[in-house]
Amino acid sequence: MSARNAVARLPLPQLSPVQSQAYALLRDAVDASTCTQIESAPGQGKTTLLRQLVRELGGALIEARQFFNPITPGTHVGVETTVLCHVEKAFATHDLVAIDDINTIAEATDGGSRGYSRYGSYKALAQMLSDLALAQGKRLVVAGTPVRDDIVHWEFDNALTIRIGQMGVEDYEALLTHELGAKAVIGIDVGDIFEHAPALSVYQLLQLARLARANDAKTSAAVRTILDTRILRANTRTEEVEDLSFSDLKGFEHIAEALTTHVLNPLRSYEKLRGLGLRPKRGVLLFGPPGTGKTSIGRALARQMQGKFFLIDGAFSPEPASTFYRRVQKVINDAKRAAPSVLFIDDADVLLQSGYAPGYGRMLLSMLDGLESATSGKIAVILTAMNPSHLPPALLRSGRVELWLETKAPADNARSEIVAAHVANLPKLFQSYDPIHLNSLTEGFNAADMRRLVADVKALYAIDAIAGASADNADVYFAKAAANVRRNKELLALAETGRFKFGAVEAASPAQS
Amino acid sequence: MSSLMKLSPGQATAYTALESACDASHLVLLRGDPGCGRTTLAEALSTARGGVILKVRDLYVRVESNADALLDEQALTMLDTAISQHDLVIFDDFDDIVRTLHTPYGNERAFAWASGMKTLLDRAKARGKTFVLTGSGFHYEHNRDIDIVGFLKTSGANVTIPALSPDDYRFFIKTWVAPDLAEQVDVGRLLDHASKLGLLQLKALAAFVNKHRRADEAFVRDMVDQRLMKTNTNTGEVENLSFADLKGFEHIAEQLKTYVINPLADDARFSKLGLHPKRGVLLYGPPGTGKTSVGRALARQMQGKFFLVDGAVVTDPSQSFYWTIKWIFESAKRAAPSVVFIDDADVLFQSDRGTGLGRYLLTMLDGLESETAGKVAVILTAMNPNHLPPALLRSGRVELWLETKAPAQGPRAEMLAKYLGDRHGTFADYDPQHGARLSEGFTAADMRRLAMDVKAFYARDILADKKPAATETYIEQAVADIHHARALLARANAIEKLAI
Repeated sequence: MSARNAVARLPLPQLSPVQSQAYALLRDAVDASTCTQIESAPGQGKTTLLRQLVRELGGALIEARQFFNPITPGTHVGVETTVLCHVEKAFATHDLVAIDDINTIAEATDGGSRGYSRYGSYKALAQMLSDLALAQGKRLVVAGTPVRDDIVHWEFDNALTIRIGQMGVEDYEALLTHELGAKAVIGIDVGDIFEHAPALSVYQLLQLARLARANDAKTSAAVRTILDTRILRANTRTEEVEDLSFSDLKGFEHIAEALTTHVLNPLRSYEKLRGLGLRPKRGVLLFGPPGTGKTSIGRALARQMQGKFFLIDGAFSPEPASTFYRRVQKVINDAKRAAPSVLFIDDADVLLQSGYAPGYGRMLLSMLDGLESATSGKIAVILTAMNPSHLPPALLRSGRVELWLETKAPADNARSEIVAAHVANLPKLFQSYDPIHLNSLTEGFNAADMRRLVADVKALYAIDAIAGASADNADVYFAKAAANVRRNKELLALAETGRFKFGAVEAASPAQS
Repeated sequence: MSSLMKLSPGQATAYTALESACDASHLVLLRGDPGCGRTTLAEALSTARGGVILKVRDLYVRVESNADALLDEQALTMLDTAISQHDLVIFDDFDDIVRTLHTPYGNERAFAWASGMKTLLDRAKARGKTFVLTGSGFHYEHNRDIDIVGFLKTSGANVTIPALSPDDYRFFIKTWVAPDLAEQVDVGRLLDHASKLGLLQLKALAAFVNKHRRADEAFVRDMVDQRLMKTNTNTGEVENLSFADLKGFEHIAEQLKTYVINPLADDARFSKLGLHPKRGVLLYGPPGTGKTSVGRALARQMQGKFFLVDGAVVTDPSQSFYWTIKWIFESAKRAAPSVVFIDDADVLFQSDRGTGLGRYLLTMLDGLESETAGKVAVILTAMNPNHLPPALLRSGRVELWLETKAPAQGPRAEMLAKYLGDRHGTFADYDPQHGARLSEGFTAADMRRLAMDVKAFYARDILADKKPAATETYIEQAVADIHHARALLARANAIEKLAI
């Protein structure tokens, strides 16, 4: 269809429609201006355009590996002088010099590393480079990542700017056809691939095509599996995440259902739902006291979503602030790349309250429903919080948290179900307990407490088993374990409210040992 | 290069000022925006009076060959050598060196450098010699005890090359555009549309005109908007909305058209009127009433002349954040007439310790005043005008207050019908008025959410191989869910208030 005709019209087979559009603008700009800059996200084809330009006009291309590779080793003390020498040398023999990944130079000189002896010298370099081109009547083209996504400013004053647009379904089709051949693409529904992951980079698409060929994947479903398991890169290693499914989460049926309805279904591109325009909820808040299963829900989601699950949690140390933002930004960018996807922000109330992260709440606000939201609108942001009142008021008041889900301590029957699920694969003895008595023993226990209870029961049983004197049913172990957990909870409650005294709990309810 | 050596009217005036400043002072700062011709004037001066021109490049040549050399020391040595050999020493783009000296650590080097510079200036004065330092603005955020820029500014005479004047535009169009096409360029209309082009931008425009052999108004305007202007907004990421799509916003669309869009659109019929947009427009209203959507429609309409300040600019706490804001405002000024849209201004302006974002934004807003003669419209959105800094409100910048409200029943029904529409007409069996009646008090965002929930419920049942329920059942369920979420929000807000 039309996309295939588009391929035939391309000046060179490897340029996709958006790329050839940008290329035409680039050619025009190079004719008109001394300096031109190309802005695009990684893997949108900056390098391809530069190579094509250099091939057509006979220029020199300077790439990242040369930035740190002096022409005469030992003579240049800085990145900027190294780059300058490369450009000077290239201008001696060429009328056009193109520099790829120019943002990495700015990063090296003006970026976070303040140890650099000439911090802030990027601007001087940019000035020298454009002076050089202007004085000799030559052309300079530089390419880097979008300034808005970048930490450092790398742009050239007075350069004309070319942006490579986001790839559409025609671009997917053109690239896959180019890589796999028109015949092989026939069995694959490119529209389906596009809907599943509309923000892939050129690299990712080419990798997908190559893996599809190597694995002989000829159907959409097979290609999608490769996409999910091999291409999309979550920042969580699924194998490190406890294997939980929603059905393992007893007492969370209403939450599982809401998440399935408002997040999971919309994120999966079901054939049946095509054209419905279904989108996931942008902001979901899971709130409830500690230990009521918020993080477990995250684990179950991570398992379900695979490559489309992105996590920001306490491991993102807010120190130093500069790298904190950088890392957060990277996760967000990756989530956008994998969109539609889930961004799970664990303990958001704690993270957003820390004084180190000013502006983080504002950033989330823009991300959840900012002006530029075509891609981020396909990311479901799930926040967990013990206390929603501790979230930035502006975030809540904005109404951008659309789905509020409360996790609670499990009800009676849910508590015994949790125990039943935990002991299902254990020796028979562990199943021999009185569920009604268990419910009264564990009144007020949350999901984490129940988990600890079963662990304690195992440990108590093990002691007796080693001594060759285990009880004939599990009731006695459950009673002991429940008392220990309860004592623990009481101590915690006292300490939390500042009423802890030595011996306080022993006096009230002597621990069983 | 030789064509640049011919001075435009504005440059010629600045050149005269430069010559007399050189007669009167031993230090002259020659300032002007990038691409306004600083180097041209420096070269003209050196041609007329001899002396030497030093470039950033010359400094780097020295540093390159000496691994132990420090940039600031080398700069001083270089100036010292030059001033002992020449009566006039011009250092082009000196502000690039100053920027490097503005390292974020320690004051020691800055002090040493400043006193070295002072010695040099005294020596020049004693011997009747002159330094000319050029740079784009010599204005930096100084967060240290010694302010190098202030020191330089107060130690010598300042000459500023003005932005291109209408006469300059004519001069350069005549110089660069092929004669037959130059006649066709309507410079007056070009000025209405883009009065702040730099020299090199104008040169690129001339090249486009020459290359495509077109000089009509539409072509020139397209080239300016699509090729020369560099906005920070990625239009592809902005939902494609026009004002006509915004149901229930007729009064706001009308006001914006009257006071912002028309004055900025520079219709030929009004070019003599001297129509200016309102300097500041405040869009305020409860969350979800469509403030950001108005921004989207504006961004789509204004294209290269729309600049966005939102939560994304604060992702980095270090000084690069100041550069970002500065860059946005500088670009907006250069693109004037243009729009700066500050989304969630009440949240952004809430100055938190350390970053001083709010204060800085205020300074930038003040800076818009004179330079662009009111050709940059600032649009702020706020949930609560009470949270805007009093200084901003007092400044009188906000000239137009527009309230966004929850839509009435009629528009609610229209919204529901619009958001529930899909390619296959999946949802047909419902009365939009019924949904609109149920959703009393809902905002535009709530209506969008309502429709999305209906779709999600439908999808849930379809995927479970259940017969989908009547659309109105889904609508009722979704309305109940939204009420529930609102109640929870109210509870969280109430706890927050109690906690204070």
